[in-house]
Amino acid sequence: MDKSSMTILNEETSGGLLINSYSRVGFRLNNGMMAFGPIAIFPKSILSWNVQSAEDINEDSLSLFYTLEPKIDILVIGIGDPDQKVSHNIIKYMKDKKINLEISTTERACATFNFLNVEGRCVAGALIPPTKYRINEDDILSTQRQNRKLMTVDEYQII
Amino acid sequence: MKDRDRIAEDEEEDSATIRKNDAVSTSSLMDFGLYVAECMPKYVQKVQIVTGNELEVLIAPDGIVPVLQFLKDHHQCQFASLADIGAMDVPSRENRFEVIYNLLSLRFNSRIRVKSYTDELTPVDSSYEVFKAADWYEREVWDMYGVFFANHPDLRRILTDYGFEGHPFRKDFPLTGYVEVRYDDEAKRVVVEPVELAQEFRKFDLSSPWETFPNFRAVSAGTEEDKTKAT
Repeated sequence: MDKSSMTILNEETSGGLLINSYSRVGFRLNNGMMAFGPIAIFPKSILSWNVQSAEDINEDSLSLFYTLEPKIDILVIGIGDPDQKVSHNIIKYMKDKKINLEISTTERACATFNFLNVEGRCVAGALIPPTKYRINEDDILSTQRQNRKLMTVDEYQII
Repeated sequence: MKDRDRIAEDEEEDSATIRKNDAVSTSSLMDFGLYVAECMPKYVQKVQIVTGNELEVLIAPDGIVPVLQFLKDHHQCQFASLADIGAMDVPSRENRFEVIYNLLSLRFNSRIRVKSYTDELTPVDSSYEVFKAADWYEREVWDMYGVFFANHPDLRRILTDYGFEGHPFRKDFPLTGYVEVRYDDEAKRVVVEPVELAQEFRKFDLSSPWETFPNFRAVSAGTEEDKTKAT
């Protein structure tokens, strides 16, 4: 007899890194890791990114992404809050380096990175934690559950 | 030859496939169009009836939100449903893009089309405040044509791929596009390359030596009644 089975994509770490949630402080990934501050996230690895805010995104801070091999298809940039300003010459600069950009708020950029990674495309994310975002009851409850979990079972790594 | 003509005429009278335009409904539609033009004299530039029974109102681009709000809220209009937003590219014009709003009134069972114009660089006001449905339609017009909508809550691409460059529905964007994707077995990933066609692009000339619609010889294409209001 065939049984139905269900897999939750976010709980499988073999397919690649996925961002489970974000906050003012950082990001939680599906492999159990929590990252503080701005991150540079790749299909299977993650690094901390050295920028203060969206204004610091320039050719230097994006230099990591175009020096990598194999060349990434698309770079998803999360600028934090919607009212942050980003300099427009980085778009042209990355186009010269043949890397496609997708610039949006961090809330949307996380989701974009997630489903591009699940599709198996060579995507990298440069994400800055947002300071203003909407939360709903579901978020509050799952955060409380998370915190209770943190207190009982100490198995989360923090970078 | 004569017999054939007579038979064609009889068929025209009996055939149900040709829509006959009722002169009364056409004139009442035109009256309503002129009423709208009188109510919004600052923005309405032209009123016309296209293909017998479709009312079009042509307005200036800064009047889009006021006119749509009027058509939605006014008691005699009540066009509460936004059916579609589209655009049209006519490269020979100075304002090459026409932005077209199709509205439906459920109360009065009638439709109206509001048309405006813009060029590549001038933004147009978003009608999101008036019709929430405009959200994705305006994203589609932005993605396909490059018409920027000011005050739109979330103007980003909706149909094209994430790294896609260009606005595909523009007349200067080629039918085959500029890039093609394929799976590269060596690199084990999908690669993006400039498009290469194995054979030359074939353009078929579809005009045949025979008349295609012999029953419609009397009807000319797209009959319009134009009544321009004096500006």
